[in-house]
Amino acid sequence: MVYSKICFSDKLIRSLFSVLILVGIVTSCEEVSKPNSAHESSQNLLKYAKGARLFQHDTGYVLQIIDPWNAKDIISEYFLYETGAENPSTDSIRKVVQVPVNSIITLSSTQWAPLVQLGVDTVVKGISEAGYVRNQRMRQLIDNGNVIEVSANGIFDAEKIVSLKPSLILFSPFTSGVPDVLLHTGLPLLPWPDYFESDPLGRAEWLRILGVLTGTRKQADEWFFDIEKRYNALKYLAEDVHNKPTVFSDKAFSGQWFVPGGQSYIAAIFRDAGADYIWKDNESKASFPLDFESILSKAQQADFWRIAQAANDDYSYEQIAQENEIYRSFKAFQQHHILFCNTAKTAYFEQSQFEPDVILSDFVHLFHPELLPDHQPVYYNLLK
Amino acid sequence: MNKLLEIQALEIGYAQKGKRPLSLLPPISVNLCEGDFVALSGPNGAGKTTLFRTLTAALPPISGCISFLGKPLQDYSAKEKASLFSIVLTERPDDFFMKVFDIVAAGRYPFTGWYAKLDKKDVAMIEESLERVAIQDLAQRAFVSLSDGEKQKVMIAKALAQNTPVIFLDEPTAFLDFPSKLELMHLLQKLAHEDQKTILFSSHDLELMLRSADKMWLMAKNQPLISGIPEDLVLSDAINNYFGRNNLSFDLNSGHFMEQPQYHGKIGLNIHSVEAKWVAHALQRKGYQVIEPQNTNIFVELQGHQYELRTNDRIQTYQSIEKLLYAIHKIH
Amino acid sequence: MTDTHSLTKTYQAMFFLMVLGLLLFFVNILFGSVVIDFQDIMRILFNDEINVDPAKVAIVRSFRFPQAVVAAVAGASLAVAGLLMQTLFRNPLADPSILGISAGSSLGVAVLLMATAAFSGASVASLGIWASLGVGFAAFSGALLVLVLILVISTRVRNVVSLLIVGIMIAYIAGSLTGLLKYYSSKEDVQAFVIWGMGTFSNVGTSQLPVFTLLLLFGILATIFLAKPLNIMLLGENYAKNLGLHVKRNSFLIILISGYLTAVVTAYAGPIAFIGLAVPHIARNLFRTSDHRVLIPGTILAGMALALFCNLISRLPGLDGNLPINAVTSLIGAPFVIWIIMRKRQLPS
Repeated sequence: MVYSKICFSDKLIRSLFSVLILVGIVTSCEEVSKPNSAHESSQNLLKYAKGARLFQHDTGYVLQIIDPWNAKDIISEYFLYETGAENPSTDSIRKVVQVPVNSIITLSSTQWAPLVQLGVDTVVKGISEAGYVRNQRMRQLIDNGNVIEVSANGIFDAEKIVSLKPSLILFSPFTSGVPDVLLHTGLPLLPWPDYFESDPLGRAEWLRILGVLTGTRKQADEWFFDIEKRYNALKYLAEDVHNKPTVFSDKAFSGQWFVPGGQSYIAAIFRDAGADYIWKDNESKASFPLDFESILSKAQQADFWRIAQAANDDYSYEQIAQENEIYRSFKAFQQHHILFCNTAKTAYFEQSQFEPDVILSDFVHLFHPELLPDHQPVYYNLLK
Repeated sequence: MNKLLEIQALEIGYAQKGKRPLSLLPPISVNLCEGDFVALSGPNGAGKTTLFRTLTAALPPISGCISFLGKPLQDYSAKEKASLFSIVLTERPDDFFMKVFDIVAAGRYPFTGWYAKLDKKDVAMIEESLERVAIQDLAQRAFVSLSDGEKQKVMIAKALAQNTPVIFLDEPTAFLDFPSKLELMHLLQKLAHEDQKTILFSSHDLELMLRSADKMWLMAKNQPLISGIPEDLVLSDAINNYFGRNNLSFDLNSGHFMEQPQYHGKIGLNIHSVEAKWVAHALQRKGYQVIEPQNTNIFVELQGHQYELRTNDRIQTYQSIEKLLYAIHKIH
Repeated sequence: MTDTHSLTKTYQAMFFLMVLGLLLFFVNILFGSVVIDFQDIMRILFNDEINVDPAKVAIVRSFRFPQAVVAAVAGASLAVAGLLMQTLFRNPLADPSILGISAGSSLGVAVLLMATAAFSGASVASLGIWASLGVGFAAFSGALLVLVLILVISTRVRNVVSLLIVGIMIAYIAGSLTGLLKYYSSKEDVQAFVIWGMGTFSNVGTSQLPVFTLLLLFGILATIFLAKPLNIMLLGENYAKNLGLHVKRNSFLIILISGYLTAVVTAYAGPIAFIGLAVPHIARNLFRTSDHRVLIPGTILAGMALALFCNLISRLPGLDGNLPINAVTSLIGAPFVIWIIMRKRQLPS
């Protein structure tokens, strides 16, 4: 089971350990805590990401993936040993994979997109939902048959997965655990809960792990620190604005309006772009359903309304109003202040995660045109 | 005669939540003997169904005792009960593919093992039962394709295959046409008289019961159950007491229930031919009292197939009773 | 059944279904989304796989074989469970889900998926156990809960019609609780639930296969002992009582076994629709009898064959990926049942 539950965090283990030494007894906890692990002394290489920890070791790296629903648990722990180094013996907790990996199956677009950018896309053997791929290079790989679609509409094709013989499968964990089909392949599985990161830089930072996996750590780190620099500069730029416009987000989907939590990714972008998110005091990282009346009463007077969805080119205010007349009541609608990202026409799902600086530029430009007057919006623009 | 079923001080009715059980009629004490062919009758709501369900152990009695062969009914196991009495109900199997043989074979189930395997004796018994009710040719037919009369015979054959001394039938003639009713009564009579089966059937078809049953149990709400042969019950006015209503009474002459007549005229007629009888029938139906012709000044006389209506002043001739009635209607 | 002519026909039909089932089982192993040639398949089946690509061996051993077994056993279980329900309620529209057992497992899965998300962050120790035992356990718990409830109620109600109504009401309650949970959960969780609801025969791995198969075989074999009571119950409750049958006790057993089969299948494969409704009709029309000593084995064999056929269709090469099994069962099964019904309804003679 990938989900071997280890109910102790490092901190807890360390304090427990010192208590045990004080008392002077040695218990089985010693084994659990793995005192010989390199990461006991070394530092977590990741700066922003909360869902993973990466530690350097003499002959490789230790990668820990944290349970997205319970930060105390590690759901998966790998020892990534570098080619040429001795294959360390496996233990019950830690699995072992040789890096750089030579073949990989990625079950989410945010897992392969950085690999294309890093120039190591040939290790990608299988992906999911090929129909939605926008990246030209990846399209080409699929059309040539170098990359195979192994999952469509949420259903895995186990036979194809096995026949590709990947050395690692990256998958998005669900609350229900690991999909059984993947477990039965017996192949090494690495959960990849990147989308749980609510810090824009934390979510982008997962590309650094991809760099370690594919032997492109240097390029990946450079790339990421560039993003970091640009993002922080923009954030600094918008920090001291006096006039913070109010903003709310999303609209009803299948009759249910999911409002992004106050600690969510988009809430962080709003904050960093110098805007006042209506639900910024909410404590949730995830979206929560809310009824129309409550939304209308809080957001009716808001200055801006952010919507990201797939639509045709001619998507307009009229079309939005046709979906539900209530939308007309919002001031942002009346003033044509909808900040719209067409996810079907932009690389929103594949790419935007690794361009938080670009998203932030879009929003700074839209909220405070005087700060970035010449910026050409990439993802978000005012809906015409 | 051999007493098969003894009912002593039996109170029947329904349990009521939080109250004492609702008893439908005074305690019943009555017996059934070998070869008895008994009709259970009474107006709707008298408790026939309740008594039927109580006797077949589908409903517990409020008090009193039902005993078969001297042993209380509740002391028999389910399996023993299955060889004591069989039932024929108004509800019928409705499975599309069920064959007549399958249904009659069900009568043998209490005597087969866990897999219901039929041995030679069982098969012989099933075939014998089919022959007894004269439906051996239908054995492989689908039950749902049969007529109501045939279906009823199949259910009786099932009861015969069960080989019980007592057979209870609930409204066995309910859905049948008149000839089938008579045929069925005749069959049941035969089973009672020739095969010594004890048969109790419920019915509200009074004329049929008077005609065929050896004995009747009469029931009415809140009145004691009385038992006797049909003729005694008729002459003692019991039929009238139990079935009669304000404007209906049992006519001893005709053996029919009749409405208390309210005449709006008198017509003279001599009834000494079949035709005259039917003319009287029509007149009575229309509310005219038929009296001797010498006592009235309007009277009808039959001339072959023609009907003469004579009044003080004139004689009119009509070709049909219909036209005659119309003419009388105009006079009145 | 004394008729030798119909007896021969019965054996012929039984033999036909058996051969069809075996053939479909083999074809299921032969075809999949990855092309493996016939010789390789034979080598893998006869343990002579030295020269065969290990990935192909793994595909046949870990996926195609267990999937075919699961389809066959699950198909047989659901079909016979449906037959039990249809006879018990004397209702041709009854199926294994009629008493709310499938709805119960849906509720179990919904509770698992949504509760895990709802309690995120909070250290709920039991949650860890829940998540690692997974969807199967949640589905089984939900189904079992409803089953126990129904069994308790079955001892209290007067007749099977009341029980049927109670069962349908319980299904509604479980359904609306599931709906409520869905309403208050995130899109991702709803998506995971929707995928579970589509059903699949591919979730049982080689390690769980023996347990799954044994659990169901046990239930399937138990139905043989119900042949006689079921035959008697065809006459109706009152006749059945008069024929010495303990109606309540036998209803209890019928619900227990049918519910057990449904619960196990749903736990491993999700709510598989339609097989339980359609196959008893197919068997009745094929064997033209109401005798459960014929119908039970007939339904088991026909259920195997139909499920294997649907599984084959869902994985046909050329179709992108695996189609959801629930879409296929209804798409294949419904026209088939319509055809059977529309055929000149010749009465058995």
